[in-house]
Amino acid sequence: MGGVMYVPLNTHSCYTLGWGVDSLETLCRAVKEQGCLSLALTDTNNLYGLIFFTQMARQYDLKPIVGAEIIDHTGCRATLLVKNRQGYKNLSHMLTDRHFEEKFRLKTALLSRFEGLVILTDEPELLAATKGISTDIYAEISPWRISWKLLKYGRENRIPVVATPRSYRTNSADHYVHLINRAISLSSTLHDLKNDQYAPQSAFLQSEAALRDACSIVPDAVDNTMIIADKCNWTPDFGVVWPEVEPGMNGKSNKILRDMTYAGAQWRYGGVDAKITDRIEHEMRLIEERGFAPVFLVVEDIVKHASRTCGRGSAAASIVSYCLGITNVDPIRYNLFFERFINPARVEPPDIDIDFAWDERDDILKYVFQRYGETRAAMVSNHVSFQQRAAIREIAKVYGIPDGEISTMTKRLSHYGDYLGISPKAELERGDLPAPWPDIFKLSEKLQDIPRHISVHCGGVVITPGETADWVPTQMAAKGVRVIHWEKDQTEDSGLVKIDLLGNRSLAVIRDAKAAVKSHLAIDIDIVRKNPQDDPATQALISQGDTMGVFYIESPATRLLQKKAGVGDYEHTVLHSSIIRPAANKFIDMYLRRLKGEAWQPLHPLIADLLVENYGIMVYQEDVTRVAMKLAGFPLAEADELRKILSKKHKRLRLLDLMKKFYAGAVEQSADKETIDRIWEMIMSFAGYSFCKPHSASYAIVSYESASLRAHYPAEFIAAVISNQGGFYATFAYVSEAKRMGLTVLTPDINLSERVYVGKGKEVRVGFMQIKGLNDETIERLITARSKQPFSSFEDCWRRSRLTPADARLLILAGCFDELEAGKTRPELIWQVTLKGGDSNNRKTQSDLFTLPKPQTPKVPQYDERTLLVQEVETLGFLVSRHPLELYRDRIERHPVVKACELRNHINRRVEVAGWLVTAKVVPTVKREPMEFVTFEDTTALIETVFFPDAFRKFSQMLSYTRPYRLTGRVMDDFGALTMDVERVEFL
Amino acid sequence: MGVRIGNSVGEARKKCRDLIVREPDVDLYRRAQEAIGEIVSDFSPLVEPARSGRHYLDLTGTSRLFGPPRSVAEMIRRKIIEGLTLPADAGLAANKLVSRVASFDAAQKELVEVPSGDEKSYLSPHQVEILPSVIRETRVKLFDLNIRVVEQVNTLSSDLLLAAVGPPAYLLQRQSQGIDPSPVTPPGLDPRISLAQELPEDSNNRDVIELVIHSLALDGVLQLAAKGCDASEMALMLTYGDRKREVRSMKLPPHKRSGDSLLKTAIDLFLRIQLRRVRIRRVEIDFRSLTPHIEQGSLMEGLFCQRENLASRQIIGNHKAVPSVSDRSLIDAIGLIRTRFGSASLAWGV
Repeated sequence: MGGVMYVPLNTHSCYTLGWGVDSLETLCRAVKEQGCLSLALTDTNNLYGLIFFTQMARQYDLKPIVGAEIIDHTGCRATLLVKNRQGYKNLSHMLTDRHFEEKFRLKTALLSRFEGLVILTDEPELLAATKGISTDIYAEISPWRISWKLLKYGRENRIPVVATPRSYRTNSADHYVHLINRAISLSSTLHDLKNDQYAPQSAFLQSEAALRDACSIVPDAVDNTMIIADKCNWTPDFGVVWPEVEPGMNGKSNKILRDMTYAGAQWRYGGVDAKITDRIEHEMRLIEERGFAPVFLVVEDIVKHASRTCGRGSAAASIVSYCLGITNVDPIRYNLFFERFINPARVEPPDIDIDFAWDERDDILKYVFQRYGETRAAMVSNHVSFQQRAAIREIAKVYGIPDGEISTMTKRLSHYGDYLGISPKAELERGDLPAPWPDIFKLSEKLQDIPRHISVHCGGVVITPGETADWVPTQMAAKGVRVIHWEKDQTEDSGLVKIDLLGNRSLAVIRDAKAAVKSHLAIDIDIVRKNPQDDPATQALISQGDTMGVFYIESPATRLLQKKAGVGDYEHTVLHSSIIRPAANKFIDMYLRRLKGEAWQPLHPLIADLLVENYGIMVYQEDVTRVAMKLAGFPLAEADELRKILSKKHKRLRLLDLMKKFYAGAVEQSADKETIDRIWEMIMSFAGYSFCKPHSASYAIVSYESASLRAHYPAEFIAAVISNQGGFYATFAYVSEAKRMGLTVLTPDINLSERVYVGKGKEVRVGFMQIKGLNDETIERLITARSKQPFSSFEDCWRRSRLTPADARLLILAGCFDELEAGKTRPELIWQVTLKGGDSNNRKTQSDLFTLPKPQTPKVPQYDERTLLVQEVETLGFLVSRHPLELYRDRIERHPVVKACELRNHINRRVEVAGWLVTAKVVPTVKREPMEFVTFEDTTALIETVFFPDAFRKFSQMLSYTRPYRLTGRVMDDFGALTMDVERVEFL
Repeated sequence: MGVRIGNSVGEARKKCRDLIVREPDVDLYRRAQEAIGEIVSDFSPLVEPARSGRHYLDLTGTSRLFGPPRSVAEMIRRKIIEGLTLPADAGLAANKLVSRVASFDAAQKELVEVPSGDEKSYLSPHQVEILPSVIRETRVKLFDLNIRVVEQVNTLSSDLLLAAVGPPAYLLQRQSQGIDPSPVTPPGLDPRISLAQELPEDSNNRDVIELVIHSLALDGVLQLAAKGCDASEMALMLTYGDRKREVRSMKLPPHKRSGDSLLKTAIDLFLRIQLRRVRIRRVEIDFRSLTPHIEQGSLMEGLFCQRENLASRQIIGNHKAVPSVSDRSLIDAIGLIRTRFGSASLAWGV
C-alpha cells in the first residue's frame, strides 16, 4: 500500500450534482486503499461538500486538498487547487461569480484571481490566455482525455503537464449508476443520452499504475501530482466568524452589550438585585471570554424589527437574551442552565434561533439583507438528497415505467413500510419482483442519500464581516434567495455563525387574537407581563388537555399526556413538551406513575440531585451532558459532544467511542452494568429529536400565552388559529372544536365576513379566505368596496366590487348573499349572473341599437337540501352549518352507538361509536410493527383511539377524512384519559 | 371485504389492501361486440355499432320479414341471451336519441318502447344528463340554475337557454324535445391500411421502437404497392405502458409518398410524437386517404437514377408521385422475400 507517488488531483464526489455517484466516505476510502496520502476534491462549480470532505479525509488519514473544477458558460474549464487563504478566497469568489454572472468567463476571471491557486487545464486557449501570470499553471491530461494539441502547446511553451484521473466514480463498475444519474438529471432515458452528456467508462478513480500507463506519453505527469500536492496545504480554519452590526464595531461590542443588558434588566424585572447582577455578570464574563457579544447585538437588532418574537433553543437560558428581548423566559425563575448555551469548553459558536410571526418572517429577511448588504448576508442552503422512494421513482422513470406502476410500488415502501417488513432489501429478498424492479431497487441503494439539488434552509442566515464569498461561495437558490454552498452542519462546523430566523404561526395567532380583543372589547392585553403561567383558568385548560390550537401542546399525544398528568402548571408543561419524543414512550409511563405517587429510586446516587425535578428521568438534552459529566467523568466538551451527536447519523463511529468511554467512566464510579445499561438506554432515547430545557421553557411561554387567549377569548382565539392556518389539525377539526367550545360558527356573509375568520363573543364568522377559488384580489375589492358602505343588494355588490361571473357564482353558492337577498333563491341569483353574460366588471358600454332586451330572470325554486350541502362542501371544503355526522343520523340510530361524551360510563367495556376522522399518526411498536393513534370525533367530543398492529393491518387503509366510520373497541382508562382500543372498523 | 360493483379502484383498495386489479380484456369486449353485431345484422342492413356493446338498428321496412319492431327486439334479445349468454336490453323509438334513452330504461324492464310522437313527454322526467349534448360543462351550468330534468329545459325560452348554456342551447333544445334527425349509419369501408405491432415487451429504447416503426412502415409500403395505391396521409399512434395514447398524423405531399420517404416520414412522426419517457407498448401506423396511383411515364426515364435526385425530379419534373423504378424493384424484392419467408425474415438495420 505504501510508496504511492501520486495524488488524485481531480476527483468528483456526489456533490458534482447529477454526475458524481460516490459519497465522500467512499471516495476517501478508495483513495486510502490505493495508498495515496492526499486527495483533492474538485467538484464542478461548487464547494458544497468542502467541510465534510476535510473532516472525512482526516478520518481516513488523508491530507485534504481544497479545490473545484470550474466550467464557465462557454464550456471552458479548469481545475483549481487552493494553496493558501488567498487562493481559497479567489476560488470562492470565482465560484460565486460563476453562479451569478451570465457573462462569467474563466479566462478573464483567472487573470485577476489566480493568486494562491494551482491551475490545471486541458484548454490550450486558457493556457495561452493565462500564460505567464503564474508558475502554478499545468496542462492537464487524463486517461480519457489526452489532447495532442494541448501537449504540443505545453511543450512549446514549457508548461508542465500533470495527470489526473478526472474521475466521477471510484470504480469502473458504477458506470451504469453514473448513466442513470445523468439520465435522471437530464430527465432523459438511457438511450437518449448524448455522448457529451456523460463521462466515459474510463472516468473512474484509476490506480497510480493505470494512470502512469495511460499517461506514459508524458512520464513526469504523474510525478507532478506530488509537487502540486506539496504546494496545497490550506484547509478552512476560520475560527468563529462573527457577524458585525457595523463594520469595525465588534471591538466595542462588549460594552454596548453590557449597557443594553442592564437597561433591559430594568425593563424586565423593574429593578436589578444582586441575584440578577450575579447572573448577568456570570454570563457577560463567558460572553466576553468567548467573544460572543456581536452575535447578541446582531440578533437584538433583527428582533426589534418584529412585532413579537420567540427566541428559542439554548439561547433561552440566557438572562442577557432575556433582557435584550430576544427571549421571553426568565432563566432565573425557571432555573435554566446557561452553560447549555455558552460554556468555556464549547468551541463552536452558539445557536440563536428566533421565531417570528410567519407572515412577518420574509420582511425580516428582507431587512437583514438590506441592513447588512446583499453580499454580506446569505441564507444557509439545504442539500436535498435522494430519499429511498424518490430514488426508486426517478430510476423507474428512466426505465420508462408508467407513473401508476411506480406509485403502486413506492406506496408499498411508504414511511411505515419498514415496520411491515417492506423495504427494497426485503422486496429483493422475496425474489418475486417482476423485471426491471429488482434492478431498480438495487440501483436505488446506490443513489440513496446522494444530493440532488440545492434549496434554502428554512431560516438559517449567516452574516459575515466583509463579503460572504470571502468565506464560502454563494449562489441564487431557485426561490430567488442568495444561499451559501453549505448546509447547516457544515456551516456550523466551518465556524460561520448561523442565526435561525423562522416563521411561526402561533405568534401570528397571538398577535391577531390580541388585536381582535382590542378591537372588539377595547382591551389591550400585555400577555407577557400578565404571566399567564400563573393564571388558574389557563392552567385548568392545560391540565384537561383542552388545548387544540394551543401552540406546541395541541397534538393528540401531548393533549393525552396533559390529561393523564392532570397538572397544568408551567414547570410540568415544560417537562411534558420535552418528554414527548419518539423513543421515550417507556419513560413517559414511568414519569406518570411517579407523578401519581409511585415511589422511585434515582438511577444512581451520583446523579440523583441532577434529575430530581424530572422524577429521576432524563428529560432534557442537558440532562445527557450533566449525567455524562457526573457519572462517567466526561469533560464538559465531550459530554456536550455526546449530547450533540446522538441525533447525527454520520457520526455513529464517534458515538460508539463515546459509549465505550461512558461505560468505562461509569464503571470507575462503581456503577454496575445493569444500571449503566438503563442510563445508556435513557440517553439513547434522545436520538431522533429532543429538546433542551430552555427551548421547551421558551416555547411553553408561547403555549401559555395562546392557552390564556383560548381560556378567556375563545372566539377571537380560534378564529385567529384558523385564519393563520397550518396548525396541527385541518380547518374542519378547528371548526368542530369551536363548536365544542360552545361557539356558533356562521357561514360567510357578504356584508359581515372579513378576509379571515372573525371571532367575537360567542360567534365565529367564516372568512372569505375559506371560499375555494376566490382569489385575494377579489376579496380585497369586495372589502374595499364594502368599507365605504355595506352592500344593499347582490346587484350593488356586483356593480361596486366589479365581480366576475365566476367570483359571483362562488359567493352565491357559498351562501354569502343568503341574508342580503333573502327574497331570492340562489339559482335566481345565478340566473342574474348568467343573464349578465360577459358583462362582468360593469364596463360601461355604448348601447347597441339592435341589441334585444335581456330576458327576465325566471323564478326558480331553491336547491334541494342535499345540493345545498354539496355546495357548502364544494365552496368551503367542509360542512360548516352542521356536523357531517348529522347527515348519517338515521344510519347511526340503527346501531347501539355510544356518544363520545359518554364513553367514561363504559370503561373496560366494548362499545360502538360513530366517528369522523380528525387526525392520525403511525408509529412503530417496540417490535417495529406499525400501529396508529387516530383521533375521531362525533358531535359531542373527540375520541382518541389506538389501532394496535392487528387492527392497523386490517383497517388502516380504510381511513379517510371524507366519510364517517363505525368503530368497535374497548374503552380504556389510562391515568384518567380515555382511549379506545379499536377492534373493528366499518363504513357507516 | 365489501367491494361492490360501481366502486372505484381507489375505494375498493381502501376496503381491501391486497386487491388485485385485472386489466379490462379489450379483446374480449371487441369479440363480444362483433358477435352481437353479427346477430343484429341478420335483422337490418342498417346497423350502427355504438359504444359498450350497443347497436342502433334501423328497422324501417323490415316488418314484412320479421314482424313488428317489438318482435324483432324480442328476437334479438333472446338470441343474445341464449347464444352469447349476455344480458340484453332494447329500447324502441323513432330515433336514435330516444331509443338510446329507452334502452337505458330497459335495464330495469328489458324492453321499452316509446310510441312515435311521445318522445318529448317520454324524455321530460329524465335527468338532463341523459341528453348527449349535456356534457360536463353544460351540466354544471344547468345544475347551478337548478335545472335537473329535461322538462325544465323545455320550459325555458330559446334566449334564456342560450344565455344559460351558450352555443349548445340549440342542440339541447331539440334533444330535450326528443328530436334527433341523425340516421343510423353503418361503418363505411375504411379506405386505409392499418398496421399495428405490439412490442415483445414494453420499451423506451428508441432504437427498438424505430425498428418496429420501420418494419410497420415497410409493410405498409408493400401493401400500398400491392394495392396499387398511394396514401396521402399517414398517422402514427403510440400506446404507452400506462395505456395513454399519442396520435399524430401528417398530410403527405406528392413527393413524399414513395417508399423511402414514407419510412422517413414515419420516423419523423415518431420523433415529434414521443415526448414521454414511459415505455411504449404498441405502435400503429395508418396509411389513409388511399387513391389509386397514376403512373405517368417519365420523359427522361433512366437519366435520374440516383435516389438523391428522386424528390426533386418528382416535384420539378413531372409530378410523378410513385416510387422510382429502383425503389419499386427493391420493394418488390422485399415483398417477395417476406411472402416466401415470413415478415420477420427481413428487419431494418440500425
